[in-house]
Amino acid sequence: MILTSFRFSAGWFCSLALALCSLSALADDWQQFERTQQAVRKFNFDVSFVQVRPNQLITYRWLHGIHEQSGSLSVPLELERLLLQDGVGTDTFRRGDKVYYAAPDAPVIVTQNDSIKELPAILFEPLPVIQQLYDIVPGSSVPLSGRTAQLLRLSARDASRYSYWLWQDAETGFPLRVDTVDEQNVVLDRWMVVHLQLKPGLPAELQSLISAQLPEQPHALANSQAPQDQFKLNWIPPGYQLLAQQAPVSTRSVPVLANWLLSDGLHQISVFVQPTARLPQQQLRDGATTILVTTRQNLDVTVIGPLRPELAAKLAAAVE
Amino acid sequence: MSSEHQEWLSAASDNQSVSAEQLDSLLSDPQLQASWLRYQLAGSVIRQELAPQLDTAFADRFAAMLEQEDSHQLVAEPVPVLQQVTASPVSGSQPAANQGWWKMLMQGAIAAGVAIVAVVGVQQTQQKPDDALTAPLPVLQTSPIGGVAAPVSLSQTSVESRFTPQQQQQQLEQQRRLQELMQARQQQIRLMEQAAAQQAKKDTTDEGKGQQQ
Repeated sequence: MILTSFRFSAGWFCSLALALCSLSALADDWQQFERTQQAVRKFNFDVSFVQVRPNQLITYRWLHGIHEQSGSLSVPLELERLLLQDGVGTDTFRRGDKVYYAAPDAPVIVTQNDSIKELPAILFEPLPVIQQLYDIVPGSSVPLSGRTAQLLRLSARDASRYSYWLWQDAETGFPLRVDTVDEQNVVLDRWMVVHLQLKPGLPAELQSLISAQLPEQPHALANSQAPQDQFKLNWIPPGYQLLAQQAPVSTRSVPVLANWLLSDGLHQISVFVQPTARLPQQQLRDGATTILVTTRQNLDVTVIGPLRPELAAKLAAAVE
Repeated sequence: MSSEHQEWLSAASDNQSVSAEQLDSLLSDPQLQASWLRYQLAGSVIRQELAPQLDTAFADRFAAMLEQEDSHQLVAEPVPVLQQVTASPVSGSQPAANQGWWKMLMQGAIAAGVAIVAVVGVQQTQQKPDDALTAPLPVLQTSPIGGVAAPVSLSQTSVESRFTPQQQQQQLEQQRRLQELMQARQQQIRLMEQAAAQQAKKDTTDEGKGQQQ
């Protein structure tokens, strides 16, 4: 009798210890991931990265630095710049919580953001949001550009979402590569650092941004939301929410009758309803982004977002 | 005669005594002095106490050899060379040498360019480079979901042969529409947080008004 209870409690204790071990290991993995999120916020760096998609390769230069402001209220100011390495395109700056888009032949656009949306969202979005959507599994370490890179697999809890494979620099935690993979682990979109230079202080190229004269206030969004009463969405993919307030959409050629923006905190799906152009259904892909155009009666429904084509079709069919 | 001289000189260099005449001849004869220097050097080498030294003529000889070398073997900083090129048209004294440098630099740059193109791969060369570099979200370059990503040139030719000009026009229009929607989406995502912040602000002011009433 005593023996059995001992055996029972020993077994219970063992399983408890195992559970605790795995829990703490999990916490460690998320801590590793957090190092990466900290690295892109706290370091001064000059980085070049490539964005690789089928039939497409774009190289960017990405600068980031912390400016320690002098004065009684010394809040460190984050300065960031993202620009095309080759060719002419939008030059993106960030000073604190304002992002400036300077496109050639267009006025500077100011938005309220504490990260540049064109960079991989998993590097910037709050950890709890990511933890809700993904499980973390550490992989092996491989050499990347002569550095040791540790693989962290963020596998989607819900099959509707693509997974991320993140390689971080073992020494600094800086992200070296982010692959977006589908359920068969086929790489849909690759983000890869090809040059990494960590700096002791603010990169010289960002010095002028400290005091640069930039439009201070973002343009107030006009509250002229198109009436969407005649259409509604009766299904949205799991984990996503309909954003209550959206920026108005303006198109030059064909008017948009209704549009919705869905977000799970990390990704966004757009749905547009337009008068039909009488073309067959189209499915396109831009990296991990699916573009689906369905036609019915006199309407075209376009779904754009990082989701599987079947789900995009289901979402398009949910427009009433 | 000379061997006789060398004998006493050799002995002298091994710290043996010399006569006053021998010392006089050593002081007056430069040839003897040169021999003396060589003996001392040989002695130092044998005793393994030679400090790393080069004879005085070495630098001159090296400079002379250097002048005979072709100039392209010198590695120059690109910036000063560029300055030379811009300054030289006025004087016009050494255009040939400068052009040689410029050519070298250009060849290097071209080689680097070719290497980059090789790394980028064939797919990149099959599309218009301008499109790929300027358009941030090109819909035209997307590949069909069903199959493997086919080269753009292939799919374009098949599209052209399969559709009438009117249909092609429609396709183009469709592409334009998608491009517009992609841009609208990008704009929406950029303004997402701002919209949320404005909404929150509006809600709090509405609440304040409600409380006042």
